[in-house]
Amino acid sequence: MGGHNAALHGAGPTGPGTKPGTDHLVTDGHGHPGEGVYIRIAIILAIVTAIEVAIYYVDALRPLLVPTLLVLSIAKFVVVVGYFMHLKFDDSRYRLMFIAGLVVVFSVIGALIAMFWTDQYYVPQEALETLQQAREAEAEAAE
Amino acid sequence: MATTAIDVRTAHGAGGGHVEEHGHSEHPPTSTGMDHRKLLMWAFLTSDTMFFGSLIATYLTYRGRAEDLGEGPYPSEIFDIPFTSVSAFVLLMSSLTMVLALAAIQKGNQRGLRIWLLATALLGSMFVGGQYFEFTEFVHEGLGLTTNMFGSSFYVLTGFHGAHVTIGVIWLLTLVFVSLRGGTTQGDSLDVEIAGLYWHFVDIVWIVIFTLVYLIPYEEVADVGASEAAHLISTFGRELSVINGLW
Repeated sequence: MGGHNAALHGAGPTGPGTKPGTDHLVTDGHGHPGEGVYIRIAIILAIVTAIEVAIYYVDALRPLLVPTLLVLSIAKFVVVVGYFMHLKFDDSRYRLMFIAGLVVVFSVIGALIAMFWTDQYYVPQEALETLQQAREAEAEAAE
Repeated sequence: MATTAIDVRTAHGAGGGHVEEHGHSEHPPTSTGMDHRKLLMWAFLTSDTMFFGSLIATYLTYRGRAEDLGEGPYPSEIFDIPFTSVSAFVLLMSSLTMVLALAAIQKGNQRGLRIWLLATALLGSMFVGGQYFEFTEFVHEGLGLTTNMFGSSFYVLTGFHGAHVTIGVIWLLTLVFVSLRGGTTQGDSLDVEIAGLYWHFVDIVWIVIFTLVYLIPYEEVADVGASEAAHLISTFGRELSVINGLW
């Protein structure tokens, strides 16, 4: 591994957008982290997952459960994408493309949830009145 | 041979960073400097992110309204968190074995590649098996695809994820088969890397699903000011049928 590091740091082949500030990492000849880094990251991910499950059962942490789970989940997501999928080390345009997709995803989720959790978006007042009239007409017809 | 060497040097000189980096002398440099196969995979993953995003949004929208939109059972009654946690751990570890497979082939280690690919496929199969078991248990407890909106959105979301994992397992086994026939060399590491991108994507989708679907309690979602809207939606559904009748 050491040989690979020496070959890479500063002098190795670099693709467009390759970040120079990754010298502190143990990397292989492809600008990717080495096995040691992968194993350490996997251990961290396993520990974070264990923490997620553990706090699920702690009643005292109930008020903080949702934000804590979201933060831990985002952290795991970023670590996997950054290190295992090499987005931290690859061309920055890959990153840009993926982040653009995430922006669209969060926009869609936000819009959909807002639409369903806010009655003004989902059922306009006019539609409600129309529905009310239809219901009354149906009741009259039934009588 | 001389011609090949000249071609490779020309490719490097034209800024084909990835050509040199991955040793794919058969692939000419691209105008963007990015390997088109890897770019295509990222484009696919981006579109797949939107696909799963919409499924997750649908699940979150309907989960808190299961009681208004159909009979039980509901999430809090049937989820087995310890079992799903093990499944999540298994899939997480499969990401490690996948990336170790990539590291192996990048060093020309064919045996290591096959071992780690098989380990990844085995872990993926365990995950799919666990999902099959979970689905079976849920059905026995009365939650079918059409039982309520929670069931519909849950099975569609996790079912599509399971289908992705299954495709990934087939892909990995194909790579093992190709490797056994001597078709995977150190220069072909990008093939493994692209398969790895897909596999890790499946993993990150499960990271999100595990948190949003399983760990965040049902009450937390239902309480976010949704009860009025839930009633409105259920009323609206009934009224739509009335309007359809009038038309």
